[in-house]
Order: sequence, then structure tokens, then C-alpha cells
Amino acid sequence: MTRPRSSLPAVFAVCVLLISVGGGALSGTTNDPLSPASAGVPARAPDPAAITITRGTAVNVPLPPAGQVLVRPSRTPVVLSSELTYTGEPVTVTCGTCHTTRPANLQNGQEGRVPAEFHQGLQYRHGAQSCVSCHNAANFDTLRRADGRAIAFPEAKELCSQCHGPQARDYAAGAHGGMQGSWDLSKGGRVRNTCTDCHDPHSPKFVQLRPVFAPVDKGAREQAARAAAHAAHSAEHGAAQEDKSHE
Amino acid sequence: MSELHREPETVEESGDSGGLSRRGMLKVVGATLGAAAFAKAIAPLTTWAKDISVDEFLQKHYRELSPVDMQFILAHFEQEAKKTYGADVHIRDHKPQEGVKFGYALNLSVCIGCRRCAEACHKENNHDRPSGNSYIRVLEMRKGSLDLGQGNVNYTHPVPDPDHFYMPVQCHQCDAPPCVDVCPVEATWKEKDGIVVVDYSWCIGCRYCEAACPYHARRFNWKKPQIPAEEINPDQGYLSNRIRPQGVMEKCTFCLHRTRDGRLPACLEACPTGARVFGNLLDPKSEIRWVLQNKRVFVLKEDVGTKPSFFYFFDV
Repeated sequence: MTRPRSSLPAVFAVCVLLISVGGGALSGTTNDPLSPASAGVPARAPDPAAITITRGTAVNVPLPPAGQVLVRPSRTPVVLSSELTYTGEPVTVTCGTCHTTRPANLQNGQEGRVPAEFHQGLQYRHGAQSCVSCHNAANFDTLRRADGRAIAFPEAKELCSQCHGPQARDYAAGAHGGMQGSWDLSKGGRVRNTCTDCHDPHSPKFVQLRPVFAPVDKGAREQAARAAAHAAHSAEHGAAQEDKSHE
Repeated sequence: MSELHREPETVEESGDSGGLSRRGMLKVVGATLGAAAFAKAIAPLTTWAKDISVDEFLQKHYRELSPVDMQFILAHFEQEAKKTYGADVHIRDHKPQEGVKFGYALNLSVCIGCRRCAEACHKENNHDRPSGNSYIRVLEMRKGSLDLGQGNVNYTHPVPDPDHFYMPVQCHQCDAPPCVDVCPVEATWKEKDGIVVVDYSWCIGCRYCEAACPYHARRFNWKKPQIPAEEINPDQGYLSNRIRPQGVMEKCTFCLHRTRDGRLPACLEACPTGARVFGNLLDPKSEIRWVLQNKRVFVLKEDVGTKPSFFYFFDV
């Protein structure tokens, strides 16, 4: 670090908020969701044509020993500065660094409003909540239960479960959320995704993504040829018949 | 004896104008043509024999192999993989576990049709790379209909499309499997843990089973699978993902080389939405049993009476 910490607000002019508990599932390009060094990738606005899932899928995390089920902890979010340490690591600071001295604007979060500074890339589509419905205004490095008690970020699943009962029930039964490892726990351990591995907590609905592994067999080639011929035919005859078949 | 026979011929030949008789001539021509025809007829056999050793040709049916036979055969296949594909593989003969019957359930409410399961299957099971083979087809179906004939597997647009739902189809490991019934040589059968397997070394490639399956779950190896050595999954099973020879049937085995070791199938681990639930149907505390007892569950083409071990369900 080349500057004293007291100048951090100025340093933050180009910093981005890593929505690691936020859009991490969609914005990160890392293969290791547990690694804090995976920060540094600017959050992207959802682009249906470009987005691919990079977390919660086929990630190599160490499996726990037989008989144990490890739920991936969700990370405590950090904000990236544009500065690097003398070893080349990005300088990250916690939410509380600013929010202990600077009160949050509680108008944000309503009607889709997002803060202009430090929260770039955040899209808010999660019911009629305000930021402090889930974030703890007394300590922004923690979350807040509905009854006002603080809860740490790694236990965020408990927070989500307050409203999303059916999902929490299914999760507890092993019928919601992806997993890796063993079906037979007497022979091996298991790693389970937590809520934020797949859902952006600020916009939890799955966004569209490009499917992988398109068939390349004869049937696929023939169908593509038919679709091309159909498109050419439609173009000739104007837009009279709109193609809704997605072929 | 021979002299007696030879004598009349010499007499006959000498009786004519010094050359060959018409009958003798025809004999020679006939023998030549016959030999040529025979050579032509067995020509395919000679090329085929190049790819198959005597040991393989004389190999017994899987269920008649002694443990010693099996060790010999597995070592032989490992050498073959090294020779043909340049890959160091480890092939095992996985046996069913007592008290286990596998079941699989898929949540149609959350499947987004990303096809990661099909891709994972392709890699895990050492499928032919150029044809993009996989044991899983993902059907894009119009909402409100279960008409499989209208399902589209070749979609490339962003998913999930709001007007469609997505239905991955793979082997249902039926309790009354029509594919097993039609096999003329008993090269496919149902194991104790519910998995319908194929002995690739016994299959004659008649494809009756492919025609009999109402789920279109079986695949045929039209060509010898092409896989780069570095992409070959070395963790292989005799009855599952060992590299298949040309001209035999293959099918989903619920990744028995993984699941008989207690691991989850590759398609489940690859699913980014957690749509897949796998487990032991005989264990009342298993996840699969919870789904069957608490969700709206159906089986595909129930009316054909196949009694699948693969279930579809919805979130309620």
C-alpha cells in the first residue's frame, strides 16, 4: 500500500462493490467460491446472451470426511479499492469501514433505487424491502434477523429461511439446492450449496443464460437447416407470420 | 483306391482331342469362382478379426465369469485402452450393494434447461467426442403440454424461455424394462440395485433394445469412440463407462462406477439449480423417499407399464 488508510475514501473513486453475497454467482469468474482472492472482477449487468454460471457448478472444494455434510459458508462482502498492496494483492475493506462513520441512505432499495457510490452493478429486485430489512444498520458487517438480532454473513441461509419457508423445508430434506460428494454418507462426505451460491440475494430470480453443449448430431443439423429455410421463407413473405416456435 | 479312380479320368481325357474335357474345364472354373466367392465372403471377417483378440472372441458372458477371469479381462481392457487411446485407465467391476435400490427424481419447477447435466455425462462416461453423445436429452416443452413429440432438443437461445419448461430424459432404470425383454442374446439385464446394464462384450448390436425403449434412452456406437487421451475419464467400470467398442449398445447406468461407491452421479453434481435428487429407495430416511412422499410426483409414460425408477416432480 502506498497511501495511508486515512485517504481511503478518495481512493475509492473507482472501486466497485464485490457483491460476493450479492451477484457473486453471476459476476465472478472464479472457480473457487471460497477464495477471497477471487475478488476484483467488476460486477456486470445481466446480459442474457453472455451470462454463464460460474459458481455452484462442478467446483472442486475439499469434501468433508465420511458422515459429514458441509454447507458452503457465504462470504462476508468486501469492497475493492483500486489500490494494490506491495505484494500485488488488491486492497479490500469491509462495509463497516465507511458505514461506521457514514449513515446509510434508507431511501435506497425502495422502487429499485440503488446507491450511486460503491455499490455499482447492484440490481435490486427482491420484493418491497429496504436495505436494512436484511443488513444490520448497527453493524454493516453483519445481517439482521426480522426480530432485530444480528446474524453473521456466513449464516445467511438462516436469514433467508425466515421468509422462504418452503425452500428452507426442501433444503433441509435435501431436495433443494445443488450438492457434490456422496449420496451414501457412510462412505463419504458431502458439500452443499448455500442460498447465495445460486441466488443473487438482491435479485434472487435466476437470470437467463446461454445453454451449453448443443447437440451436433444429424437431427440437430437437419433442424437447423429447416429453421434457416423457414427464416428465409418468412423474410420473403414479410413479418406476417411471426415465428414463435423457437426452432 | 486312388489309382482306381484316376484311371477312368485319364481314359476320358485321352479319349478327346488331347486338351481338357468340358467337364474338367467346368470343374476348374467352378472351383476358382467358388474360392473367389468364399474369399470375398469372409473378407469382412478378416478385417473384423484384426480388432478383436482371440481372448475377447472367446470371452464368456459377464455373469459366467469367475473373479479370476474378470481380473484377467480387466487387465486386458486396461492394456487395450493404453494401446488404442494412449490413456492410463483403471477399470473395476462394481457390484451392487445389499439393501440398495437406486432412485432418481428431477424437479421440473427449477430445471432451466442449461444442459450441464448432458455435458457432464458426456465427459464422465467417455462418450464419442465428434458426435457429442450423451445419455441425457433435454427436451424443451411448451408449458401446459406433455407431448414429447413436440419437445425440441436443439434449442440454442437463452434459457429458461418463459413459454417453455425443460425436461431432461435419460434411462429410467425400469422395473419392467422392455429393452431387456427384447434382447436376443441376454446382453442386457437388470441388476439387484435396479440398474439396467449392458455387457458391451456380449452385445451383438442388433439395436432391438433401442427400438423397444419408450424413452429413447439407448445409444448405439456407430463408430469406434474418438476421445483425446487427456480427456478420457480413467475411473471406469466394466458395466458402465469403460470405452465401448464399435457396434454395441450403451446406456445410462446412473454412473454406477460412482454410485456403487456411494458417490453422487455426475449429472447431479453438475446441476446448477439443484433440480436433481438421487438416493436409495429402500432407505426411508433418504432424500429421494422424502421427495416421493412430499412432492407432486409423476413418471413418464406411466401407461406403457415400465415401472421406472426415475421420477419427475414439481415444487408446491
